[in-house]
Order: sequence, then structure tokens, then C-alpha cells
Amino acid sequence: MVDFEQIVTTYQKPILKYCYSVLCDYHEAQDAMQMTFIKAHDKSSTFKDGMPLSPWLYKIAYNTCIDIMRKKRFYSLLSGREAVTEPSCEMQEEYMSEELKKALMVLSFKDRALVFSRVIDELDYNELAQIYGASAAALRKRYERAKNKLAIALEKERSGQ
Amino acid sequence: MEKDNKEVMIKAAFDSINIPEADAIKDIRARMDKKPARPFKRAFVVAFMAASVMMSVVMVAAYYVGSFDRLRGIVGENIAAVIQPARGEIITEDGVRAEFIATGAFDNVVDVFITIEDMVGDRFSGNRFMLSAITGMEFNMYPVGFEAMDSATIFSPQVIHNENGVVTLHGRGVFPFSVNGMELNFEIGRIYYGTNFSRIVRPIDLAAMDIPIDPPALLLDGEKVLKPHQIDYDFGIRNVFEQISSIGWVDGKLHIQLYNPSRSNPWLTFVRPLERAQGYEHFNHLIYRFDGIDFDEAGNPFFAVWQPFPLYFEIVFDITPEILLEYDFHGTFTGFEYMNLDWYTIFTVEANEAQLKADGFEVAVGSSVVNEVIVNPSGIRLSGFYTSPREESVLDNNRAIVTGVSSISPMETNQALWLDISGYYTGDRISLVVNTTDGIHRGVLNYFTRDDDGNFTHIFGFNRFIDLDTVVSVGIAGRQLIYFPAQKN
Repeated sequence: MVDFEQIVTTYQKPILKYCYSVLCDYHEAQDAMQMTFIKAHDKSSTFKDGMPLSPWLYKIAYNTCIDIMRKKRFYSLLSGREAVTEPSCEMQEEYMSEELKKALMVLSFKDRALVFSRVIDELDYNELAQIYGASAAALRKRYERAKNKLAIALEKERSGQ
Repeated sequence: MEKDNKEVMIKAAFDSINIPEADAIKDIRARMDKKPARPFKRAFVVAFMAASVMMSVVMVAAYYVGSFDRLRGIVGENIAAVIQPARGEIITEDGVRAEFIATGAFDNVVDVFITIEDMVGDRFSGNRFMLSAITGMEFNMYPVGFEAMDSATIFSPQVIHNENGVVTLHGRGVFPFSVNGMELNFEIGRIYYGTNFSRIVRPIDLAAMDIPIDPPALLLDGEKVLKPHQIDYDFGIRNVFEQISSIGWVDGKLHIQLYNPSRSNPWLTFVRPLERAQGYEHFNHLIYRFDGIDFDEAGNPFFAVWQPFPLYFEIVFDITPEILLEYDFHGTFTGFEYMNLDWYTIFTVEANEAQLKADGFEVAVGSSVVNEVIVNPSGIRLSGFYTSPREESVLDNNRAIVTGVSSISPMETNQALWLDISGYYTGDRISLVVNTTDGIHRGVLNYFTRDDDGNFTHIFGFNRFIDLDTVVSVGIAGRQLIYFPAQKN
């Protein structure tokens, strides 16, 4: 594996943006991003040379986001409050437009992750399959559905409906 | 990648996210280099603390041993021999003392024994109880539900003793896999009590009492348990996450063997058998996680693609071939489209696919379909799913088009509810899976039958899902036929 600091430098912003899009919480996203690299560092011995780095990192980032969501839900349950299953996308830092924020609300956080990976990172379905643990065909179907849903939501937000 | 208009629009929206430039490496390094807490330096402080702790331990141990002895008197020596004392107690603000007394875990059965005592009155007499629990496997963020009603992670314990205002409860969770060698803990968030759970129940907050459960050491596994001559049905391995690899009867019990080629996918299986034991009937939900979790050296959970879960798992049903002859047995290892990060179940079925398509159903039978085991195939089978809002149940000429399942839990009703519904009809029975597709991740699989007048009669609810990302279902249709002793051949 190449130099750790170089990896962080290269991927910190994409990973942060990914986590932010998934979690809709900037501070949690920062935390997820840092945890992603720490996990990657700790598990670097298991990374096989020649493997593409990006899907591996994104998989870690995705799972870290899931962990964060589950922790939130877990502690919600413990405290007897209603379970939190999705990020609320409320109370955000102002790094995300209002319309995107609201549009993202229509997707599950997993869908957000998938759409982001496909549209922004332009990962192909085989790479996505590595990250999301699903077959490429299934992800394609899932992606199409999520994409359409998000596009409709974005249009609605823009038209002010 | 060539983008269509929608993707261009979405990309533009994501590109508008304008996060500030930052150098994370310092923070990451700082977190990695974080030093452990500094130990006490003053010897006398250490000595004082040690003495205090030792005294507390002795007192608490004596207390709990006493509770365990009382339990031993209730459950008898045989059961007492296979459970261990547990430690955990809380007194709630409204005067309820709850105490974990003992736990037991062996193979796929986990037992917990809890007492609750009303210290200020007699609120518990004549009531039934439900416990909302979070049971951790490996670590405690993964709820394993022992469920008995259609909401939250709740299970119904048996009242095994009730005397002088102290109610002793026994809860049993049955996993479709062995917990031997795993780290378990069991947390109870609330106890609900009431005479009728279709009405108001009263909760007691327990602030998540938490106890560890110590299963025995991990049994060696990784090889097929069923021997070739015992395999009645052997299924080809497909390129899917997991599938039923074989099924057969061993010593009169039905064994279902699952093959998990990737060993790594975070799958969950819920099974809801109907258990009849000691005259007490309850439903269990089983959740089966094919986990991909590993731990780093600091003990932090880490999702791993190399998680060495065994290639083969085996579920044993105490059910004879004779009984099965009367019913259909569906091992619906449907793709259940966690694979799609979504939630529609697809039944494999040798369905009348062309007819479904002609009728406007979206038929999804393909590579993501895994297996269906049909021991006693009969009738027409349909597979596929379609999306529909809630509607009235409809039966249309041997075809299941059923919605309106009432068990969708409205915990997160802020999202649009769409249901993917799978159904198939076999002779006198209709089977359904209802799943939401919007991230709520809930579903119900119910079995119905028709009475002599042709009306549908609910037999039993079979499956239900809660907000879990990866689910696959194994189903058994029939009457009181499932009992889940863990049994290795």
C-alpha cells in the first residue's frame, strides 16, 4: 500500500463528501472520514497490492457510516426514544444546498451512498458490488430506482412544489 | 461514464456541496496516537480503590449468588446446571427493581432469567410481560430480536414464578445458528406489562440493563454436517451470497444447510417459528447474521470482507417428513434484495412467469433468486413482485395479490410507504411478503388459508422485518410444527 499520508491527502475530500452525502451531518461525516482512514491504516496489512484502493476505502467509509447510524439508533433505543433510522438532514452546516438537502431526504442513506458512488465517483457496477456487497445486476436496478427518485425530488425542490 | 440528464442534474447537485478544505491527517494522527488514560500515581489512592472494589465485588457476588440460588429452587437442578449467574440490577424511579439472575447459551439457544419486583405496590399481578431487548452479537449494535409482537424488538418471556410480588421471567431466544464461541450480551431497554397487549401496556424503563452471556467455545465448523447419503436435496451452488446447499432428515429432524460462499456478507435472517413448549406458545423471530465484522487490535469493529464465517451453517427443525407431507415447506432463500440495498423479496418459484407478465406484474426471477425448497410441491406457484400502496386484500384466481397487511409498524411514518409484495398461492394457502422500499425496511410474511366458505383465514404471521439492511428469509409454512433445538449431527 502506498504511503498512508498520501492516501489521506488524496482521498480525504472525496471520502468526506461521500460521508457527508450519506450521513447528512457534517460533523459525523468528519468523524466517519477520520475513522475510515484509521481503519484503513489498521487493516492495511490485509490490503492486497494490486487491488484497487478506491472501492476498498469506500467500503470502509460506507460501513463506518452504517456504524454511526446504528450507534445513533442503538443509543436512541437505549434511551427509550424513537429509533433513529435515517439521518434527518436537518440542522446542517451550510455546506449543502437546501434543495439537495431536502431531495436527499427521499432516499435511504444506503441509496444516497449508492447514487453518490455511481454519479460522483463514477464507479462501475462491479466496483459498487465490492462496496455494497450486492450483485452488479441488483445494484444496477437499485441505482436506477434511486436515481429516478432523487431526480424527481430535485426537480420538485427546484420548481418549489 | 456517460451520464443521462438525471445523472447530470444529480451530479450538479452533489457538486454544489462545498465543504471547506482541511488537512485531516493531523486529526487522524492525533486519534491514532491517542494515549491511554494515565494511571493513578499515588499508591494509597490505588490501594483505597482496590480495597473498595474488592469489598463491593464480594458484597455484590454474595447478593447475586443468593438470587441465583433462589432461581435454582424455581427451575430445578437440571436447568440450573446449564445456566450461569448473571449480574445486573436496576431500581427504577417508579419503584421497580429488575434483576438479571442468570443466562445460558448453548448452540443456538440463549436463555435469560430476570426478576422484577414492584417495591411500592402490586402492579404486576395477573399481568403478562414483554421485554424490549437488544441483544448484541459480537458487539451490541446489532439487534437480534426475540420478538413476539409486531412492533419493535420485543419478546415475550414466560412467567415461571410469581410470589410475594417478585415475578421471575424466563426469555428464550433461538438463533438459527450456533452462538458458541461468540460474544453475546443482552440488553433490556424496557419491560412492558399489561393484561392485554392489544391495549395499553405500561412500560418500565430499565435504562438498558446489560449483561454478558458466555456461550461455550466455538465448535469447529466449516464442513458440511449433513453427510452425502443424508442429503435428500442438494442444490447447485450459484453465484450468490448464500443459499441452501442441502436439506435432509437426520434422525427424524429436518436439517437445512446453508452455504455461505462469501463468508462475509452482512445478512440477516429472520425466522419465525411457532414454538410450543410447556403449554406455552410463543413466536420467536430469529435473525441470522452472516456477518462481515472483524475487530481491529483496539477492539473496534471493522467490516471485513475476509470475515471467516463458516462456509456452512445448519439449521435443524424438529419436524418429521410425515408432518411435512401435509404441508408445503418453503425455504425461501429469496434474494431478498439486500443485494440491492432494498427490500423486495423475490420468490423463486417455478412460476407462471409469462402469465404474470401478461397480467402486468413485474416478474423478478433471475440471477438474484437463490433457492426455494419444495418438499411437497403442489398447486400453482407464482413469483415476482409488484409495488403497490396499501389496498384491500384481493384474491384473484389462484394468484396472490394481497396488500393491506396490518402489521406494518409505523415507527417511521415520515417516509412514503410503498410496499413490495410477493405472494404465492399453493392449494389452500397464500403466502406473502410485504416490504417497504424506502429505507424503512419492514415487512410481513403471513400465511393464510381459506376456510370451507372460501374465506381467507390467517394461520400465523411468519416473518417480520425491522430496519435492517440485509435480510433473507427462511420460511416454513404449516401448523405448530417448528421447534428449534440446536443440534449438531
